[in-house]
Amino acid sequence: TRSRPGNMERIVICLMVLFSGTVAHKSSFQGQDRLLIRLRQLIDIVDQLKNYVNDLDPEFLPAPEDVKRHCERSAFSCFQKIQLKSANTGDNEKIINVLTKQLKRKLPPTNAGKRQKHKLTCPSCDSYEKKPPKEFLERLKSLIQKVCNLNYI
Amino acid sequence: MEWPARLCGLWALLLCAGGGGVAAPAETQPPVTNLSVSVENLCTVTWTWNPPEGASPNCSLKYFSHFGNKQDKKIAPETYRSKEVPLNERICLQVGSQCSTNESEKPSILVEKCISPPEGDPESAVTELQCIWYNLSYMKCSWLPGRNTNPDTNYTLYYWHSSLGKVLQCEDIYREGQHIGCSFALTKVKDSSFEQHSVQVMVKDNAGKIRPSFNIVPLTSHVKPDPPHIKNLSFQNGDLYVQWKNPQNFYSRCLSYEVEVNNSQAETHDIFYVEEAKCQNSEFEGNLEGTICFMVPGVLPDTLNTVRIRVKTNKLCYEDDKLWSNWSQAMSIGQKANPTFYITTLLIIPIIVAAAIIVLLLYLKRLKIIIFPPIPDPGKIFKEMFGDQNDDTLHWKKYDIYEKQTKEETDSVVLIESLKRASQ
Repeated sequence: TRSRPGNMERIVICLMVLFSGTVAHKSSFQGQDRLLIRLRQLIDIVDQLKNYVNDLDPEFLPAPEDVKRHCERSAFSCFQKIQLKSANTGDNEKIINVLTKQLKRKLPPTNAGKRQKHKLTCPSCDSYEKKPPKEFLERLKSLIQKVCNLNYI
Repeated sequence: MEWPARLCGLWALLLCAGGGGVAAPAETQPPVTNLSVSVENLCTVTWTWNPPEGASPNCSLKYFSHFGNKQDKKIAPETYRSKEVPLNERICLQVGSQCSTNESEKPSILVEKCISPPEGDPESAVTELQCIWYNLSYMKCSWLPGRNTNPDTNYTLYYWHSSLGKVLQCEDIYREGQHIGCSFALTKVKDSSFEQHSVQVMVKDNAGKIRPSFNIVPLTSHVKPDPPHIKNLSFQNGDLYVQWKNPQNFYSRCLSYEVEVNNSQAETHDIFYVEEAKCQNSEFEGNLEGTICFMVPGVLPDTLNTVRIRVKTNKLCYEDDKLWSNWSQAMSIGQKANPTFYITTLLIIPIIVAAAIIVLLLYLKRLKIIIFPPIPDPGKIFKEMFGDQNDDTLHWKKYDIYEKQTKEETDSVVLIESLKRASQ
């Protein structure tokens, strides 16, 4: 009766290790895939918003550029905090609101992304230069393209 | 007569009050001073100015600036503004001062300063100056000579980007028909903020007679990758699995693909446009490192299929996605459609026929005479007809009539007349 529970424990632990191993492996792949899918969607949204640039409120917004290494996620959240407003009511207002809402969706986490939070202190959003909506959107697109070109995505 | 004058006075008073009321809060600052412009490198233009004199003491000065047509507005506390601009046309900056970073605040009177292209006839400048970055390794720029220029002009290309300390000259000049071009090395420094930057390019001639031409090439566009290499083709469950390796220096997620499948028998030509491609271990035998896979549906395995692939940069990582790489080397799979079989049968049949004829000729003389009739000899025929008398008269003797009459035969003859006399 002594050896049996011991064996059972070992089997259970082995199974748990195997299970967590497969789940972890899957999730890291999935995390990267989901992030890339979301980034592709974001580029499409930015391109669409660029078409409505004349309907946006011309207020200057903080637009990070030349973002420091490993501060890309923090810079991206600065872009997300901004509420792009429609300047005039009209047919385009609804579309603009839908698009800006989609911009604000949280990015899927990845292993590299989690590391970014704890590392350096990144500049605050207000410290970045303010630009009109057109340049804001262009810089957002540049940031996404830069992130996709990195090897620590 | 009095009340129009009174009305006018009232009107004037109202205007003054109104004007005064509006003017007091919106006090614009004085304009900036000493606005000047200078050029660094090839195309980095910097405008600098001094703060205005007599600004309000409790105003933290910010400067509002924009280019012609109110483009590229900027509000910032710096007393300079820099921009990379190709100096092929005149460009002007207008600057004003204000007290906050609000876009709605009215700035001071704007002061303008322009910069003109270098001297020279605009018609003489080279045209169609364009650059392509090949596989993130070297950049090739090409141009056409300007009008009214000497065909013997020697051109020089200068280039600069932020990783270089100074402007460099391109050595490798070549001519391709009408176009002249130059090629120089350009590699991406890993993980630097190279992505936002550009290469500044200037073309001018050695004699200094033509007006220089400028181009600014962003490093996130005009990229042409090298062609990929197909590593493996295999059939599984009626589908064709293609496995290839992308050109170096590119992440797979940054490329879009086009897979072309040619079937020689069915004479089909299919092109598949692929956005994302990945290799899952379970489906591909012997998964090679760093390869990309794609499954082509509906391919006939018994026929010869030829596959080619090309790639281009996609919008996820680069600004433009117009330049396709060259096609990769083709790789084929499937049975080769019987040309050897047909050739062998075509060769064997004549051989058999020839052998049969030889055999028959040897063993059948009649056949031989039919096929190879004896050649008539006219001399012999004439000899037979009029031949030598000495030789051959003997065989004519049977036809001699005189010879025939030598044989004697006697028969008794009875006279009938004598018989008649006797009876009388």
